[in-house]
Amino acid sequence: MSSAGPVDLEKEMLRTRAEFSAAADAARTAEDATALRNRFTGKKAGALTALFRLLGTVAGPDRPRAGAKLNELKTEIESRIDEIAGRIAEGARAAAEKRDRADVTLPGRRPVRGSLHPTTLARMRIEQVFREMGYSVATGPEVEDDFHNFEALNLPQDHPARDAHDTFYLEGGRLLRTHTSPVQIRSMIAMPPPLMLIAPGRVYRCDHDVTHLPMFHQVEGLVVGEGVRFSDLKGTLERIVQRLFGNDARVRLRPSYFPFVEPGAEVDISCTVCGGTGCRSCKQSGWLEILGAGMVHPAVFEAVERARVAAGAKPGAYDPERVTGFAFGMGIDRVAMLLYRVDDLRVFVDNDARFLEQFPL
Amino acid sequence: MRFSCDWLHDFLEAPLPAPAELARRLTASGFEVGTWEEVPVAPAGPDLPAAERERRARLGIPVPGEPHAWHREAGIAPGSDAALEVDITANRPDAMNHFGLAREIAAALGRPLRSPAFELTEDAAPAAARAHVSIEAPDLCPRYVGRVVSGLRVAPSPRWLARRLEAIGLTPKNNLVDASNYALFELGQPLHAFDLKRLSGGGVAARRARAGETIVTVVDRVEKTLAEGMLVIAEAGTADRPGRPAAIAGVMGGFDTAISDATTDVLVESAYFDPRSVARTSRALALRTDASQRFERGADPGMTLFAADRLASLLAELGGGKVLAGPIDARAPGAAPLHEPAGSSAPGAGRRTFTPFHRAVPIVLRAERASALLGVDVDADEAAQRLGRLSVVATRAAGGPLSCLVPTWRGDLTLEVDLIEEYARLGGYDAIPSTLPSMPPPVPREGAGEAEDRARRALASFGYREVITYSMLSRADDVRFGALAAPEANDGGPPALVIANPLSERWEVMRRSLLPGVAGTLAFNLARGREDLRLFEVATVHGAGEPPFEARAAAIAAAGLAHDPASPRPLRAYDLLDLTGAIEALVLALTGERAKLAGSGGGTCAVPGGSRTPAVGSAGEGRLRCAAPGRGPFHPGQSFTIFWDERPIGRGGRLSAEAQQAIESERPMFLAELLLEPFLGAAAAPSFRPLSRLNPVARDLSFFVGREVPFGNIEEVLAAAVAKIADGPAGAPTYVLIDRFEGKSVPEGRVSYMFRFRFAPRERALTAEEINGAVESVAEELAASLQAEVRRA
Repeated sequence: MSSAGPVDLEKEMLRTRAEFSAAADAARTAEDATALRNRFTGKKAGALTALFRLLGTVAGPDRPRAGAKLNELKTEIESRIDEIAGRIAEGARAAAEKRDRADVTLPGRRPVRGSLHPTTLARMRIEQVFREMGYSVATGPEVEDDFHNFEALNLPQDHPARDAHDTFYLEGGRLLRTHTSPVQIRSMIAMPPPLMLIAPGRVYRCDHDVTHLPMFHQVEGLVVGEGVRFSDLKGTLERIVQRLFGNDARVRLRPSYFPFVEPGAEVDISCTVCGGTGCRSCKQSGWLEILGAGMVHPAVFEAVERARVAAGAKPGAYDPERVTGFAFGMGIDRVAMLLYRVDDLRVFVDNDARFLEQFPL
Repeated sequence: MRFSCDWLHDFLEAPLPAPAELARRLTASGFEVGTWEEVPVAPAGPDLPAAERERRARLGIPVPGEPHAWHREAGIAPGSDAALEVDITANRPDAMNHFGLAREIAAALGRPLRSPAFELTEDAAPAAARAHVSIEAPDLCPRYVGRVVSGLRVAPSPRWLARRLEAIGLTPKNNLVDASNYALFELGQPLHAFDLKRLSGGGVAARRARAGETIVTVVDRVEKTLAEGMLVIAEAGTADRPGRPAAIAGVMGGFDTAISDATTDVLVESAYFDPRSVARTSRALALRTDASQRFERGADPGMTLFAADRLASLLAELGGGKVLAGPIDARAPGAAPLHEPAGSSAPGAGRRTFTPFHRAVPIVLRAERASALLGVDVDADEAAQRLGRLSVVATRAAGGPLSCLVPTWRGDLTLEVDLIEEYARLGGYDAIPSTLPSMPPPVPREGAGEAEDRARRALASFGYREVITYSMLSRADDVRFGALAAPEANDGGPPALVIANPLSERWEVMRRSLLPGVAGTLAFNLARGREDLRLFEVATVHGAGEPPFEARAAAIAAAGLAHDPASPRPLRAYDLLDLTGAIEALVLALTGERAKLAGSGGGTCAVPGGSRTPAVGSAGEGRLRCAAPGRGPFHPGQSFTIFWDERPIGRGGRLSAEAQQAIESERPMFLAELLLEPFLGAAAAPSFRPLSRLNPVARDLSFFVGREVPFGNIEEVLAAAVAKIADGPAGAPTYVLIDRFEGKSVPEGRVSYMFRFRFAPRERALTAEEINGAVESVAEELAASLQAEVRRA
């Protein structure tokens, strides 16, 4: 058996390197990379293992140098295989990612959204503004009696101002409330001052044309306590209007007449369309009428006092010499028309889906 | 009411501001000017009495037909007039005439006012010899002044007078009729002129109408039957023929005694009538006239005599007649405080000017009260001066409150606060500062409205759209849909509240159900080609009763094809389960209770109560339950009643073919409504249940059941079976339906169900035997109770 010399090992190393180089260049797939690794670096049958076996045949003095060279080759081959395997894996990943690309411009799966009626949206917004200021929200019946809707509000039978109310009467003598003021009366009869409340709700007037519906929505407010002043009403309305229509909105109070308040006022806001310079919406005046307001009339307090005492309450809670108050009222549908630029009242009751869907939740 | 600027100029000592500025000033002082417009005036001939022309020339006031700087400023044709449309509030009848509004303008602008003035020439013959007046209803007619003018001739009115009437929208008729109108719109006192020769008995009496009396009114010539007790001005009558009503006092005159082309002698009426009496009569007869509007708001008691003189003078001037001597001044006893003192108007010939009278009882005005109410410092002397512009005479003892005498035309000023308003009004509301209430706000309370809004938001978040429909219904719809309230009652619940004065037959009764509204809205939108419709409304249902029944309710409705964004095709048709599922989810949202729905919520909707026991889906524990059938216009096989704590609170179903036909819609509609009352309290906060540290174990169970077995029965059996094993080693699992199918591999007449049970180990992992044992006992229960065929893989 002829012994192999260093020459043989070197020759084998050259041959192995050449074979590896060819095989490495030919490797294309992950399988090729695995085969390459098995063929050259496999622990039992790998080409490098065979070369290390040959190292034992190298003469003693030459052995360290030959060993170092062999290790060099091993490192070179291993790192080359890692590199090839990595490149191939990277390529496969890129190909897969290319295959799996999503068309993000397809329609997304939108959650189904319903909508709230603009009158509700406006009411919620109004209520929010008042809640911030410490008001409670009160409700009351829509079918009312003459006392709560008229008498207690200083509108006795045959009062000429009743004409403006176009009342629906029910068989049996009750009526459909023409405003939500009866809720104020009920609240005062039920509770002593101080009171800060608003009363939103449906109201009814026997009137139907382009600008009037027989059923609409109002919110009325009431503040009663010691030392409540007309200036407080003015400041409150200014704040409300600015929170609803923006800080640039201006408020104008004009003397007017509602039997349940004194002094009474009509309240205009600067036109939300033109900002006050004059346009079609405000009939060139720069102002939009939006609220009625005033200081609670002493006759209202007196009616409340009588009803409270009749119900067993201690007298004096609503003595007009002791407490004062202000009240105001506005149309919620009207506010909705201004907020959302709706120019036709009738769409509010048509409930056309094309209208409703413009007010998504 | 329309006002002529030219006419207003009669009572001012300086030209008015240009109409736009005048409109602004009037609006700011409480007389809202809607519009104003140019009124052309023919520029020819003397168009005003000579004295008035001279006065205007002296003061620089525009004369109609002649150019003036005022027209340039107003931007209107030289010589023309301008008319203002002024909205006079119901408390200010005193301003419903030119002199009255001029009074307000003078006060608002701080300028001098000129009293109306005229010459009255009286004949020597006394009026009282020609006509007599008696008051038989002193409570309704405290004062009646008559004047007699004779020798008149009917002719067209002079141009200046006709033009003024036209400017305010009236059509001139003849000099005698126009004179009455002119005096009314000049002074505000409604006046009437009887043809004296046609008054039986030569006079009139103010008395109550007797039952069955009639009168033919002058304007519409229609015979009106008067109610007993209405105030009339009747002919005096004769012994053998009692006087018939000649006028409905304060409302309208009668045709038979009215001015005609043949009239020569008239009896002028200027009276004060009780406002409430006129209001009642005017409403009862549906007659609203210029006179009734003023009387029911309150005429000026201090104007009665002056206006009678004015009309008499005008009639004589225009009709060439003679005013007989003296007013015929009838007064009811005790009427004096309301009226000027007797004899204060100088009788006989001469120039008449208007003298203000004041009510005898003063109103006390405390400056500190005004300050406290308005939020601005009020000085007593300044207040007295300001109120003086309104002819209020305010006097004051040193340091004391003001004592204010109020002119007779201001019937609206009776309280201190009324004077405080006048003080603020004249100063302008702009002069009052803006503050916020200084009192600490009371603790806000949550009302029912908050819970309702939670319902609205929840339903909208499910994809439903809120609608608002009329609370009034036709009788036909009311009968068709019946009442939501008391849906278990066989008598159909309370009857509907009926509107006594409906606007149309669409709106005759107050609705007892919300379903007609949402059904109508579905039909409206389906007819417009909409496909995907889910709607809701939250509103009140009504019913008759004492007190009337009112309850808040919610209705939901669906029709068409569900546009499901998760799987665009194929579209799914809405059905009953959309409603029951939405109701379950709504109740969960409102009650805030844990989602412990039994099964997947198929044919029943069951929300278990707030029990703290381990989460067990159980129809038996459910406070909410839907069960067939439901009462209403529904398809007999597709309806349900909604129960809460075993109390019926609602109903739903597919609309019956008959009802579909009635609302003219062929597409199937699904409707439900329920009372919200059980859910209007504050929402319960969720309460935390500790989580098991061990992973849950899932086990599926499949079985066939006969097709006729309702899902609700399966749930009941499952709930009972699970309750039985709750104390076993595996505890009570939760369960959910994960598959249901029939056909192909399922035997004929049977349905395959698959439930997934989830066991939650508490202290230690469960063994396979423990779990298998638990599932097996459920399977046995199903087999025993429902003849279920359990499929073992």
